[in-house]
Amino acid sequence: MSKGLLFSALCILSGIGLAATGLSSLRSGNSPLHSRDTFAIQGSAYGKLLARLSETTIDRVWHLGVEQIVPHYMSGDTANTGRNPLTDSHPQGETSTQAKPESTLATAVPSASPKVNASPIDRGKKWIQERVVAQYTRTNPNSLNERHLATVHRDIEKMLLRSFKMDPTHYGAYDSYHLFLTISEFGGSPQANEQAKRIANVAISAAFKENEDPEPWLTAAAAGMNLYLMAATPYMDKGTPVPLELLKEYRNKVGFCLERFDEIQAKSEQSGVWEGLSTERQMEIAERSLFAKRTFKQFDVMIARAETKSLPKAPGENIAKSDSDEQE
Amino acid sequence: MELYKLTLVSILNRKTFAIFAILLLALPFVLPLMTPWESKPTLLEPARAQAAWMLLWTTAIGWLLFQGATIGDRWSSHGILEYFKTLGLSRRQQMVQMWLSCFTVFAGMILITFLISTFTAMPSDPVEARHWLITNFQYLLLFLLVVAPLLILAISLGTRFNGAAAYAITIGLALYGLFGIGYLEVFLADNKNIFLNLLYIFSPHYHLSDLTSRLVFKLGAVPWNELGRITAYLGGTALITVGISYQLYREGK
Repeated sequence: MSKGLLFSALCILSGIGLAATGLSSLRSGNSPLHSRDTFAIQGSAYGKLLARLSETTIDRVWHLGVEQIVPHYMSGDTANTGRNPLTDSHPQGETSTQAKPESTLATAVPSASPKVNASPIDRGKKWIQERVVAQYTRTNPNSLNERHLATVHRDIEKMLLRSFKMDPTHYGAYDSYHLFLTISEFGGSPQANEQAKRIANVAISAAFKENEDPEPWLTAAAAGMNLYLMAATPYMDKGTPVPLELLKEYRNKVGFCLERFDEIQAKSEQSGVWEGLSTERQMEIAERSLFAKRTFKQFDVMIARAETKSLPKAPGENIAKSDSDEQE
Repeated sequence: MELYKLTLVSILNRKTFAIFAILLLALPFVLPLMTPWESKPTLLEPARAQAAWMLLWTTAIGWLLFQGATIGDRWSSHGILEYFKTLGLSRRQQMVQMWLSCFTVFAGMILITFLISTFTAMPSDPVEARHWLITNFQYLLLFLLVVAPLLILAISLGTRFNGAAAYAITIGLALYGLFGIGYLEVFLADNKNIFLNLLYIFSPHYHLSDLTSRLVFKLGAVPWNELGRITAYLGGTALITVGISYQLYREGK
């Protein structure tokens, strides 16, 4: 055996021995499972960025594939740029497997006539925008077939899940995924509902790690609200009143999230971080918190109604139970 | 050390290292500002460390391995290695000198990353700061155990095949070890195929060297016994790579 071959054989054999020792002890302790999150992108600052950036992609696939119209951010004819596909102005029920020539036409023709005093730059931009609209406008009189549409739905679901994993505390990423899963036309199956519950719990637990940024707590409040709605749906469907315990449980949960939001926002204002946000973002957060708080107030109304209803009929039992729950 | 000097001068003359060095210096400070950090300024520092290490990996895969592959190819096809052989430079010496010249330049880049990650993003809490420093050293060790042998492989493959093929194989192996195994794992979740499971076990699990999440989420240093196991595993993989590279190496084409 030549010297070189001996050297190689020695290297390889000792390497195998060493690697096997390392691997077997790794197996017995922590398994060497791949995190599937190389360089820790998910949940990091870059994950937050990617979650926000993916909104545009999802928006495009949603509008071109499901709504079959040119997305607003491309046509540039509304202020909807960058909004969530599932939470923007299109009512979900509008979606059909039929092509919509009227809406296609509506987007193909520039909706607003160019301003009289538009600068050459603006006119140039408008011209490019119109070409982009033409590039994506549907001229096929037939719409996508059902199977193709199902593929588009699956792709959107994958993208929404990826975006949610990137930043589970982001309101847009969470809420659009939740809507997608729970609207019966696209999901609504028992598995999709289970997934919706799972992501709501993930969003809430992600907020629990947050002590500086108030926004995740609004996402958690929305997730709590969604969990309540999912738990209350069977009662609503049957036409029976929602149990008092359920109402109180979710009032406490959602109330806690909103309290934490207020606390952290106050802290953020004190430290001057809040001032660093753009006015648009401040307004967006304020509007969302107002909406959450207004919805939250309904719990008190519903609880009061449930209590007055249950008083004459079954004195004691329901209320005593829920009071003791509350004390706990 | 003539081959070392010749290779080093050749790398420095190409000047591509300067582009990567500038990116390594500037991007860790620029990229975090592109994230939505305004509502949580404490995101900035971990994002800086994360960017620094991601860029170092990118430089290692995109620049270092390419240098190794092309230099191996060029010196071998131009007869330089045969010339040095006649001067009495053994195969092992040639490999070490070429490897060292590539790594001399790369060492500067590693230093940039290490300094940025350690000192511009260190937590203020003394306990966390200690963990941060140790984690950075641990990361450095594991990173070297992956990248250093891959460079030897790139050089050796370059001397045998052409530069592009050598680079493609090495980069493929690196990406497979870092990312691909994760996909294989998904596939194996409900698959009992013995061949695929063996492939999984015998794959180079380079992803074990990725400690970025320990920095980003401030998880603290890897426990020493675990670090020993990972080091043994990656060290073993490194030895196998060196052994194979030694056989692949060829002085002339």
